[in-house]
Amino acid sequence: MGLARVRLAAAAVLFLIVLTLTFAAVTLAPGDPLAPTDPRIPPEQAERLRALYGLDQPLPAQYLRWLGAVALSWDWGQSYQTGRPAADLLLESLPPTLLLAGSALLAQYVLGIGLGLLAARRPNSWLDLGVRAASLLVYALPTFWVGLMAVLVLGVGLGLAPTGGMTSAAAFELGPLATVLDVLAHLWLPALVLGLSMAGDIARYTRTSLIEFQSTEAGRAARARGLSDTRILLVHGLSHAGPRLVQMAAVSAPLLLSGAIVAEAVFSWPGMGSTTLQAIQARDVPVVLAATAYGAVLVIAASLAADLLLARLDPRIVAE
Amino acid sequence: MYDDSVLSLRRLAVAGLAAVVGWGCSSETPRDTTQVRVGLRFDYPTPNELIAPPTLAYAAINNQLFLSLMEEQGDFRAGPPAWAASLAEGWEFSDDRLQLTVRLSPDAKWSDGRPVTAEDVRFTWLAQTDASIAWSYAQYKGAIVDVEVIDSHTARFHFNADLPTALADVSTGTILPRHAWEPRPFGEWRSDPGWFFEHLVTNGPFRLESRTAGRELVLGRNPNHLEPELPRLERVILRAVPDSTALTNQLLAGELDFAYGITAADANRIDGRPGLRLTAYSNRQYTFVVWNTRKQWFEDAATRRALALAIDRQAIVDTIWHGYAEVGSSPIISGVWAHDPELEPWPHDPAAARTALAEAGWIDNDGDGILERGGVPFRFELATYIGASARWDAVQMIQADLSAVGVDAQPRRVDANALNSRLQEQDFDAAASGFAIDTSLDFRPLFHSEEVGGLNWAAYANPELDRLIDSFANRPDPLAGRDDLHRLQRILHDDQPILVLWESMSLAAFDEELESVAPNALSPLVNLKEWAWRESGWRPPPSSS
Amino acid sequence: MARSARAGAWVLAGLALLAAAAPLLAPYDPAQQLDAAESSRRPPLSSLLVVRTLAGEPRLAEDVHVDGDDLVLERRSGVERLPLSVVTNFDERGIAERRRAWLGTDALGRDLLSRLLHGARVSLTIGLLAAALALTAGTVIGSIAATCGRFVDQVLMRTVDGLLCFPHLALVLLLAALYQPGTWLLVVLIGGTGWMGLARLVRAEILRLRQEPFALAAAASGRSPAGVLVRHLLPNATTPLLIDASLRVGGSILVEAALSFLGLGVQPPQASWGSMIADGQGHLTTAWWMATFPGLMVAAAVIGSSLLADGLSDRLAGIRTTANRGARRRSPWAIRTWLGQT
Repeated sequence: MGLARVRLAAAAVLFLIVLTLTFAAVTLAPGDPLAPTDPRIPPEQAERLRALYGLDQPLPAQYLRWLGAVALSWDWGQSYQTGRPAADLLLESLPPTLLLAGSALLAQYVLGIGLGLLAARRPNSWLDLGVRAASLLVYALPTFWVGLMAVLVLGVGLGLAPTGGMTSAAAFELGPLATVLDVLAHLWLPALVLGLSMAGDIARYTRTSLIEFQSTEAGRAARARGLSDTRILLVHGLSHAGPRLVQMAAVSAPLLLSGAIVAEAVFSWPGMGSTTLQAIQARDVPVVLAATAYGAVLVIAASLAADLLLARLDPRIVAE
Repeated sequence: MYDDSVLSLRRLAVAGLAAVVGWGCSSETPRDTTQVRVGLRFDYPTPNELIAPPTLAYAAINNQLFLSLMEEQGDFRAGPPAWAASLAEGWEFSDDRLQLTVRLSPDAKWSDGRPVTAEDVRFTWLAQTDASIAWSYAQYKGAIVDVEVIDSHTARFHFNADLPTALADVSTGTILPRHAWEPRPFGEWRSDPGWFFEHLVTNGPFRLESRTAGRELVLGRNPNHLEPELPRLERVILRAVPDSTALTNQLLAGELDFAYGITAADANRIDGRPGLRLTAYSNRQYTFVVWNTRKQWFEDAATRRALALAIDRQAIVDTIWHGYAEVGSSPIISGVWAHDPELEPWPHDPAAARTALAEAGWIDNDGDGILERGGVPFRFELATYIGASARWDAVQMIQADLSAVGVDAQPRRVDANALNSRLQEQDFDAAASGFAIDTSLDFRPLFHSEEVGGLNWAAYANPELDRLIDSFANRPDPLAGRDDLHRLQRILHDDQPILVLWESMSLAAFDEELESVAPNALSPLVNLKEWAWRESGWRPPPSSS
Repeated sequence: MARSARAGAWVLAGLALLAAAAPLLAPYDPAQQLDAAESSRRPPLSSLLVVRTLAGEPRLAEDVHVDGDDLVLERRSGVERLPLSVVTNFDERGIAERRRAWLGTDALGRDLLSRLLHGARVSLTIGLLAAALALTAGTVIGSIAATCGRFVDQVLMRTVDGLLCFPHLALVLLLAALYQPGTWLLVVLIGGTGWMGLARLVRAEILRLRQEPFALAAAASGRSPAGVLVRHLLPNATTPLLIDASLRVGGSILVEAALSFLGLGVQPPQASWGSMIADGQGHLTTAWWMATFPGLMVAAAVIGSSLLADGLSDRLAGIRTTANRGARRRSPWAIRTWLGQT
């Protein structure tokens, strides 16, 4: 746990540095985030808003004030676009993103391990080659293209899934069970698409690892005990590959968040990715900064969680 | 055993998927004719319009909850905007037109049953002009020096000058509930936009039934609305759909009944689809290329005219808009009363353009295919905004047209904030942008020489045009200024500080069983209260469950 | 499985060849919008007749026939008449010249095949240079971390850990939105945010190789640490570095495509595969070819680079015979993580 503590401290320092750099990048960039978009609004309006948001002060003063508010009361300021607290906007969009990323992670592992098992049973069979080719292909195709096509074919064309959003119209009046089903109906396609690109990797790793295992002494021993292939692979093989698979989950957290930006754009999913993208496009500085921070916190949390889990599964890896 | 387990797993998975999927598309339930599902791109962070984002979509929604004193009519063909009674049932000017007395309708009530009073009118004016609230459109109240409460249903506006825009100024902005919002000091309004949701009473046809921040608003019928038979729908579900492809998809998949903000590229997916209707209407917007007259390439009108001849605007419109836009000739678009119908857009004539450029001194001396004048090659940056796909396509077509006459325009996409700042500071060469025409037809901000540094991006200065703008602004009756405006359009046409590319249309589509849907330039939801499902002809489909 | 390395190398080499020979292979000027209103959004394998006239640009038509003194052009928008006297390429066989769109045309009537070939130059340049940049930065920083003492090592590696915690696509997106990159800045952005994994890899390799007999011998013979590093350690680490770099080529192309999809990719007159996909995304339902062919090109490049990396890592596993199986295969996902693959 000493290592985890060092990492956490280092992450906190870096967190501050990167946030400072982001602050500098967005405030020093050309253009005026408060410039009115409607030509009928006079420039004096921007001046008034600037004073309201404290942007008429020198940059160091702005920075200190911002940092103080964040450090003391986790106050990320008000969104320039909507006037709402930036932290609220992020908190609202956090659960949908966690749901999407979590389901994508699940889809990625279920598909990946399943296909990896299939492929590992008969190495170099047609099935194996097919799985490997497919996993390469899903990695290579841009996710947004796969997503757009999935929406068109499965959503608009076949009506198998809603075309976007997280709930149906007026979903608030559905009962609890109906709400869950409604969200699931909206969730499965984006989660599948987001999970698909990484499922290939899991499949490849599972396959390699299982084939490796079969040639180890433990693998031969298991076979000698007369266990069936399936049992060997499922129980012993997977426990052999397990720690590494857990580590892959941790490492894929930032990847999932990045992927979520694209997947949310394709599926109109109301999550952090959409919020971040809109904020970047509208130069909504407080929201951009808050989004960067929340994203980083998520990733740090995910990697710490994985470290802890890993320490249980395989102490050697942590020592490495 | 292995195969069996896989098989059963597979069966289970298929069954599970079918259950989820089957539920997902169980839209075979009978249509609920008391409600309609509307999709558009919006953000509704607060019901208080004074601190809200100044967007068309926000106003379209907010105007369902709150009414103005008078209602602007959407037709500008015959004359300047006309005003119909709304919360106010009548009004009259004093003889010097410096006072306007407004009588509120006795039927005007808040959703909690209390009457809308002159106190509300005064409170609204105080809030609109309060410096700490910093309302985006506060300048429209600049001529109003006081709002006097005569009695509970009569208010008097005092002006500091006789302006043709007096009625527009009075009716800009909706009337706010004093009894509900006065407890909160103005200085704290901006700090918590969400507070107003908790203290919401409305005076419009609808009230707010529920909301999911950033995603959905549900409007319910307001029983206290001053027209008791309206709205015809019990409720309207507004869905926030962030992009137009998703919007079209949802409409086609039956997840929406009305969609606003469809692009021309998506229009033909909807056009001709059974059960759906597509409607296109002028949105008062025009797109143009602005030439920075402070740069050496664009300092003379002859060169700018030659560029207009070189650009095939008809081809641009045909290619990008598929007939949903028209080539423009003037910043006063063709649907507006003051438009000069005799003004013909410059034709596409590359040969004439080449001649005109040569006469203006642009000659390719070094044989590189690019013209020069005084040693300066005709090579400049043609900017537009990131995300503006039609303009982006147009900019690329302009590049191709201009390269055919030896002019090298280099397209560039710039972030909207950065580009607008650069336009104001004349830190650009040429740019494609767009405006919605202001129905007061005050062209001072756009072309007056004193507005350089503001919206006069071209840095255009013409004493005659300045005089025309000032003279029109001082006329009490705008209709009498038609000749001024025709002359103004002629000058802009000849001088070309901006090249108007097209007058665009907005596209909306809806279920054809919906009746009375009539979006117009003011708002896609302008008459939402009159929408209803056609009762006849609609039969519930056979239900499977 | 050297087969896959060879296959990957062939795919990449083929793409590079196409890019290099684009001006020779492309049937048309990739920027030409000939009669755009007529030629836009034409499907693959379609063709239009080119009617040349005495003055002005040629007109395109689906079909033509003679009616009196006029040539009647059947166009998408209806018929158009041209006096035969102004048409210069009409003879008894009719109009012989055709403009063929092998892979279709885009929304402005530009030939998709020509654009794909020219776009290969931009996409591959970005992919290769960004990978090269990441490789260089990663090698330098990893070497410094491994050789300059414990304190430097700690600082650098904790920095790497921290930087890996930020969703990179968001950072790249933000910077791209704020500073509107051209091709070169894109290379810097994508390469500059992708070196962290490589730095870690280089450091681990050097630490491992330093314990090998040949390195110990070199150090004992009095070579300077820098000399040992450059002459002995790094050359022995090339294969794992090449694996990373190879994957990164494909990954960088994917990142550029994602940036373009979100509206922040390369600026014209250049077109990259990514910007072509972005141009086509609004037309997916009505003109599927516009986004699909560039999407397949991206996929081909990524598959090529993955196969190459796979093959290399198999070879690497074969070379390493020591009990130290530190050559644990780096699965592609580990590298893509830093790229924020999308």
